[in-house]
Amino acid sequence: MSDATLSAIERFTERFERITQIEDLPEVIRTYPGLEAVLSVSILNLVRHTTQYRVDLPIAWIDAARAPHPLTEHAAFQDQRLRDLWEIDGADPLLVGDIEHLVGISDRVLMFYRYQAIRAFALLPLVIDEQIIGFIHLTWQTVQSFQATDHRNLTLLARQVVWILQSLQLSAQLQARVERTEYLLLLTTILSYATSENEIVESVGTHLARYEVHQTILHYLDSDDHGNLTTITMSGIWESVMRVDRITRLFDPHPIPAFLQPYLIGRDPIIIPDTSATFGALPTSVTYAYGVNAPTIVILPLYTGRICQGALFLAWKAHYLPSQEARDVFAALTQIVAPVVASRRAYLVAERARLQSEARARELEMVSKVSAAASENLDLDHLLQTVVDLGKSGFNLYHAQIYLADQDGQTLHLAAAARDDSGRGDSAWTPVTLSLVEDRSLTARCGRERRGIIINDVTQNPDFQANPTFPAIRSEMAVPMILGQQLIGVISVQAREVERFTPNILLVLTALANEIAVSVQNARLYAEQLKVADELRNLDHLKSQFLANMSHELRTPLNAILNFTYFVASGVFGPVNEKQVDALSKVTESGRHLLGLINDVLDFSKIEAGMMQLFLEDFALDELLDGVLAATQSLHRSPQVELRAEIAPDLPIISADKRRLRQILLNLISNAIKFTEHGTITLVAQIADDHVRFAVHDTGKGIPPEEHEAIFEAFKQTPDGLMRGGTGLGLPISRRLAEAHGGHLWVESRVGHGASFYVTIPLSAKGRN
Amino acid sequence: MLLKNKRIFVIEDDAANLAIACVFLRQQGATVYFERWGYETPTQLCSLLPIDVILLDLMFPNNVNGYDLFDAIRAHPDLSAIPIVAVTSADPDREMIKVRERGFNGFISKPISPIFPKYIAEILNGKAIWLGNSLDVPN
Repeated sequence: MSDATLSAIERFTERFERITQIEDLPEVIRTYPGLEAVLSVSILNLVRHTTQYRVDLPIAWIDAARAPHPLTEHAAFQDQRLRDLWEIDGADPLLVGDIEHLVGISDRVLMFYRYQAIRAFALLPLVIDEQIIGFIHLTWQTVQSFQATDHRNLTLLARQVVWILQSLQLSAQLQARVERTEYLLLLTTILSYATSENEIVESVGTHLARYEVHQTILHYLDSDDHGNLTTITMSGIWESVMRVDRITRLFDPHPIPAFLQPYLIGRDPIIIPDTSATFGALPTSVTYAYGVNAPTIVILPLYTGRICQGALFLAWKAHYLPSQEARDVFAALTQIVAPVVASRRAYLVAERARLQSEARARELEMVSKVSAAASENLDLDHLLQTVVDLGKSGFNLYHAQIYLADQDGQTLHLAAAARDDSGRGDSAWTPVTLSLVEDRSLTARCGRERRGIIINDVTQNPDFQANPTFPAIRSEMAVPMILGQQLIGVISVQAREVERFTPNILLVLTALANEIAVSVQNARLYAEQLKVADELRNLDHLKSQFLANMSHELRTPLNAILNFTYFVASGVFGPVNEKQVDALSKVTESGRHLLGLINDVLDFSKIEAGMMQLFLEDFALDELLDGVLAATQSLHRSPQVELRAEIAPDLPIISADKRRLRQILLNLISNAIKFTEHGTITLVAQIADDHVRFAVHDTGKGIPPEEHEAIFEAFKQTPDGLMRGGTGLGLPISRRLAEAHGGHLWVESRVGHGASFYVTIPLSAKGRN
Repeated sequence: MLLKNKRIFVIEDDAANLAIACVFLRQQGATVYFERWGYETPTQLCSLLPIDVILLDLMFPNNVNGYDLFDAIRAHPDLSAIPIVAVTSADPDREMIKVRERGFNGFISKPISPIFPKYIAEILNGKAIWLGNSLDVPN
């Protein structure tokens, strides 16, 4: 048992000592129904020697206003008569030997005695603490002659009766004290085991049943601050004497009526015996909260030290005036209940903080998971399914869906859904499309109003459309996904509990929804890009196919032209004369030229389309250069031009596209021949580090600096070049072929000093487009 | 006579191209058999054994390609060792890599030239020939 409880019991018993015996006496006498008989026997024994007459023993209690209250069942004694008699007064016994000789007695009293044939009487005051608490009334039917000894004996008799009463009273008090202490101890024990507000209220209510308390309501301070009691965390309604019929939900916000709050300032119990006199008619909300139109209420503030923990409210069905004993029990009760409430409150605060931080942590974890999933996921369906799955489990929801708005903003389409029993979304049990214009569902309304909406109890929402597949929906929330001005969609979630969604969750989900909106947009853009890329790929494929076909279609006739011409010219089909040979050689030359042009155009197209592929093979550079030099011998050139080669010895094997290197070198040499009237053209080949460097030097008129780059651009043939024929694509193609090998091609030239074209090719080309 | 006593099988759809190939090869002493492409080609080849080299065009009408035929020939136990050369006017940039990967013994681009029999002879000597441009035609 706690110190607080012990001190509470001590205070209670101290308080008990102060109970005035007088106030307590009626209870004592009432508790002993045979008292009158006992007293009668005692008194008769005492007075027998003085009288032979019958004795009446009406005992009355005189209150502070001296109003007599009959204490026994004796009916003969009427209030008014006693009052009149009492006017005779005196603390000493009043002995009247003969009423006919009594001076100053009222006629009515006289008539009273005469009527009962009483001739003499004795009135013996019962005095406790100098206060008369009643008297013994002895009557005789004959005239008595009272002596001094009678006076003394009767005084003694009165004192003995008082002693008897006092001892009875003490015994009763003791018994009551033992009883109360016992049940307060019991209550303390029970309360110490109370694990819920229900149990606290039930224990207290059970112990207050003997005071006819109709309801016991326990109010907690909602927070730790020591301010006003503004909200409660629990309210128990005590409907009947022995059982709790209705305990309202924990954490149900249930404000203490404002008009009661001023009464909670002090620490003392406040008794409002007549609420209608004090407050006027109680508001309906109050009578609802208190269960009855409580005419009497008692407010018991609960304090531990200087901290107010809350209050106990007791309400009665009918007017009730608590006795001093009841008040003392109430006071003692506050001392016992306050520490219990304090510890329970501390637990609740800690528990709530724990739950909040747990919920917060869960939310944050969920948010980060969803964000991560959203940002790394570019597949729209998968993204949305991940979001609803994570959201449903993260927020512990019944059901979650994402609807996406269509382009014209008229309709919402179900994009993903998750429910807690079947897990995956299934369009069979969720509306697939919702009209943004007229649908009354929360989802459509949210999209229409473009704001998050919480419905905390769907049964209170007239627009709620019960879905037979989701019988358990009790609350729902929807938040829009908005990007800029555009409604991307709506996230809609449902829970099994009422009031599941707090403004806090709404904020979290709104932030999340906006993030998801961005991801949705990204996913859509990505899908679009994929589509475009796909189309481009198709286009590329078509282009590539076209080029391949062109290559085939253009070369096939040339095979016939060139070779049949050769056959005719070489006499396969019979003798030919010189003129015919000359003509046929022009055909051959033109055919070869045409093939060159076709190759250039196709090469350039392939380069432009990014489809140039190298055919890499290992070969000896010597072999390549021999072939190139051999080929150049057949080129037409000015007789004043000398072809030279400066080939470094011991050239290595290279990994490259042989045909393309040959093409580059022949192109450079044939260009040089074209633009050189006289002098020399020199082909140089040497190794530098990990690449081979070719150079073609000529002694032509040179290239002005402004044309150094232009000559490598397609369709920018110089006027001079135009004059000499060709496609003008040779250099651009050559440079791109060198670059495709990972090498370079450039020119160095001064006007009047010839030109030098350089090509570098890595010995181990990787081949790239 | 570069190809004396050599038995060469040419699979070619275009009559002119076939004639040209035949002229060049027979001039060098080869015996040339030829056929348009067909499912029975492998069987026909078996009846003509021994064959020293097969010249195969890659592009035929109706989207048929020479690779399927190549696979069919190579899959035949009696024919699998015969060198096969692609002789084609298909784009060498596209096809030459594929042909090499497939396991052909060479690629000779059309138009062919009078040097053509020399390349075939080299292939018969075991050399791989990769000829993206059979003519040296610098412009």
